[in-house]
Amino acid sequence: MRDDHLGIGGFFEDLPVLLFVLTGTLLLIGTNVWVMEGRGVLEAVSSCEQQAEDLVGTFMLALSNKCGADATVESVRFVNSSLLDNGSTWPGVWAISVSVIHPWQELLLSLGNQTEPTGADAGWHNRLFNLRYGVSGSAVAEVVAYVGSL
Amino acid sequence: MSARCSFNDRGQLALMDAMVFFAVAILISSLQLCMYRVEAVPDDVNANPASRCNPESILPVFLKASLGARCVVQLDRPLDVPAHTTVSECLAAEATAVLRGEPVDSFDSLNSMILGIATNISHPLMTPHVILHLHTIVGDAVILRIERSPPGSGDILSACCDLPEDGIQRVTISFQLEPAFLPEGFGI
Repeated sequence: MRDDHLGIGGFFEDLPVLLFVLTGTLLLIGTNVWVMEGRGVLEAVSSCEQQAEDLVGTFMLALSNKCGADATVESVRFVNSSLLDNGSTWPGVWAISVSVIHPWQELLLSLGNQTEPTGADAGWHNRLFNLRYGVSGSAVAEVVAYVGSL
Repeated sequence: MSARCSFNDRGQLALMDAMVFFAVAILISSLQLCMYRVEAVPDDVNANPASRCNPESILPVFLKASLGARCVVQLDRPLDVPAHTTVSECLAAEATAVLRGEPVDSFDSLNSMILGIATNISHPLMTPHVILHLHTIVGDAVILRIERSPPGSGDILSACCDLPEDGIQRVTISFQLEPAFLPEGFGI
């Protein structure tokens, strides 16, 4: 049997070449996979945030239809989930809460279609608005909506 | 039998090609990561939809809010401000009094309540500043600043609107939010 000295030398000469090519290829593939995964998460969160914004809009519209322009603290306190019947057909998990933040702090309302938190992507949106109280007082309330994908 | 290996210089060309490929791969990966970072991180705090960080969402609600507690302003004649008086009415009355020559210090208790409301309804990591400007033919002048401390040199988010007219002078209110110092990448 004859040794192929040139072949053995060529193999060792090619090792650094192979190393550079493999590392470069893995770097490209790894970066692509990581960026694509990140973009997927961003899109999912963005979609949830958009749905949360829509949910806040739906709630405010329903409240305005029910109570008119001058919604009071009491009227929000006794709102039930039927107010959101038309808007509660969200594909994922949703929850909405309304709290007074001035002049006192109180959770007025909390609605949702699931009590267990979701581990998937989620987004939220909030909006401030005024609520009447007493004879002529004007409180500041905040509505916050959370939407999570299943 | 000898185990000697032979090397030649022709392999250097392949090595050079591989290094160029590796450098290009690093460049492409860096560009991808940079572009992803630009997409992932909002340009500024304005991009955040949270209304408690956005002065434009806060200002109309702030102006319509009631004081929530009675306040007595010590002028020549003590002025009783009822609890249901809105911030807008308070600021308009205060601007009129200050322009009439009343000292700003007289309104300290009222200003403290107004600043409390602004702080309550703003994001906890935002510092509010409420500033009243008088617009005249000669120019603009600040007639009242309601704040805990003067704003720093960082970015400030601002919204403004006219106060209800009381006479011929035009007074505008500027509601400013100053983000607290946050480490890079910590979103509000």
